[in-house]
Amino acid sequence: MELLIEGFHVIARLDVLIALIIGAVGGVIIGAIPGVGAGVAIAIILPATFQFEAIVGLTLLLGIYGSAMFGGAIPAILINTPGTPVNALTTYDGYPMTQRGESRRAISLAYSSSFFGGIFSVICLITITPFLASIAPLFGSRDIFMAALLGAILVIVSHRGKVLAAGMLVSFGIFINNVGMETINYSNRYTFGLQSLISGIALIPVVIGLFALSQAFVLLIEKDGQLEKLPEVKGNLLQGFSELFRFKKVAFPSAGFGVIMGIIPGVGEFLAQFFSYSLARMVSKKPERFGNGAPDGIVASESANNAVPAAAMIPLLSLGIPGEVLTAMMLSVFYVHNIIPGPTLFQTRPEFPVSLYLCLLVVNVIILVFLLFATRFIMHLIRIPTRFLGVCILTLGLIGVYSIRNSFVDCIIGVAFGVLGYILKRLQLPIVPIILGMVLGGIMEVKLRNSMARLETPIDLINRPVSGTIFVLILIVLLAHFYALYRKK
Amino acid sequence: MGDSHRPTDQQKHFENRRQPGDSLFATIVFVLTVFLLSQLGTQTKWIEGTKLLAQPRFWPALSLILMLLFAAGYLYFSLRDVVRKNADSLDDKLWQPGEVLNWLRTLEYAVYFLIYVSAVPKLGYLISTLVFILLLTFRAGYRERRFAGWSLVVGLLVVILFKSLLQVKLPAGEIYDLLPEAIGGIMIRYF
Repeated sequence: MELLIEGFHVIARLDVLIALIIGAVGGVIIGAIPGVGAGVAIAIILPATFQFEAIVGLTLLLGIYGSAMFGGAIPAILINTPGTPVNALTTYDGYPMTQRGESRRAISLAYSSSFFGGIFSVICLITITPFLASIAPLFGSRDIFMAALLGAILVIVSHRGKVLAAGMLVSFGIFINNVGMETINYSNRYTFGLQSLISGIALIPVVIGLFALSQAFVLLIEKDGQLEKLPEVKGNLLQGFSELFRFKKVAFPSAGFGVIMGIIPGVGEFLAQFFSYSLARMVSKKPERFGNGAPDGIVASESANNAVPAAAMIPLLSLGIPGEVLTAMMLSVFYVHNIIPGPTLFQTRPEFPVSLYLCLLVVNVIILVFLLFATRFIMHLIRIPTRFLGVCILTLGLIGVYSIRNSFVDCIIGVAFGVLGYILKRLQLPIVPIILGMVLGGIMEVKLRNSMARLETPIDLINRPVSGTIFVLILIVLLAHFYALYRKK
Repeated sequence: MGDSHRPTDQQKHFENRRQPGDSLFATIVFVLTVFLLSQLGTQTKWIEGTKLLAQPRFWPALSLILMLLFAAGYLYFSLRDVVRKNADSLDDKLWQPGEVLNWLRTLEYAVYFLIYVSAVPKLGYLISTLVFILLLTFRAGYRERRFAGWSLVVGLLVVILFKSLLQVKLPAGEIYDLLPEAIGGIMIRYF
């Protein structure tokens, strides 16, 4: 309780509140514009947040992260185009409802389900926090190494049908993290004699290249589509809450899936919504309605999506291991301010994670209030032409990549990764494994090095209760993956 | 809206359908990995008396070996699909050098971006941004005045938000030295 009060004190600060409102409102708007998304926005704005206090910068990013999916549901329902990729399943039932003249009902259900998912996951987090704080001291370097290894393996195996590509890209991410001078023996690794590579390849130009610049290239190169006429959305958007209550048997498990999938590194919103949607269809008395405008389909996908952001903070805050790419970006804000997320954070500054949870709680309220008044305004943003968006993103890209240290080399690195990201998008290969490979590879190297004094044999790596348990989990994940491959044959 | 937003694209997150240029990309990655691995001896150090896991060479070697294994598997399956001509997972255009032209189209915009970055220390953030966004809007095919107007508004807002308000660290333009001291000072600080 004391922690909660302390947390409220932190988020009641004016600068934090302003960051929260800007993040939440900005995130909804960005989410509603197809082709932008939270990843692009966070990548661009990330370096600008370094000058703020950690809590202010993180609040801004959390606001964007927690709200983009709310906004993404609007074009998904109205024009059959998801605002963010994770709103894809919302199109299945949202757009048919719009075609039936039920756009207001679909949007209001999406808002209420998203709000429910967001609040549900934050309550779960606040409940879990004391437990996390109690087990945090059990985690040593070897345990965190094993957890990062588990995260890397999950990132690979969760890309079903693209496991080899994901493995290749995770390994590439680990490799590029090694480029430059290593700080133990001060030897250069893969610098090819180039002075500019001695300081290594920083995460942020890579993130901006893969997310923002590549998306700008995609948008600039493709043709503008026909602007569709937007349907009218008139009436009370709060009505979805009463309808949501009717679908509580869908909403609770879906939000639960979102929390579980958010906690597991490398899994995230896609599988959460996929599982929830499949479950909702399975338990429905009229499964044939799914894909043809079933309101419970919207409830399933939106509750699951929006439960993920808060849950994704758990591995980041408790172990210092980002489970997906947006939390990987946030990790750099922690590092810039010399706050090391992980077990010690819960011992030394327990109010910090709690205030972040509360931020997520407040974000959901701000978004809902904003959407109730601004939905009609946001609808017009959907009509921004694709290539003009590309122009804007490329212009904004300079802020992200050049403002870190005014380095032209960073810009070349960013552009190179932008081209790579474009190619990966053309090939429909994932870009996230590169980022997570870089981050998790760095964590694994540092933690393994810290454990060296205690390592006589490889068994020493797994002879602790926590690391041993994680090792068993790794074996289970690998066995389950190979068993699934065997069954597929 | 553009094709990349269509729901069918999102559904492909759950599918495994190879795209044009897949085998070419797999080949390039494989060859690059072999090259990087061949440089292991010269690009990393082995320090005598240090444990294997603490060697500076250990992580680059491990990551490249893993990358080689995954890339080899990826290349094998990609080429196997070409050979089998399986209609379910293979597009006729799979081994399509024309796709490279698509990839190369990004270079045009990459060059524009790098010119923009190079211009900032000379012309300052405000002028560089306005010129860049205006020309890029024109290049993107928007010839109407309203788009030129919108691009200038967006450019100005970007500069005001990031440079004037958030004071993001960017080099001051050399051109500002030509201005009277008082105005130059304001331009250096805010634009």
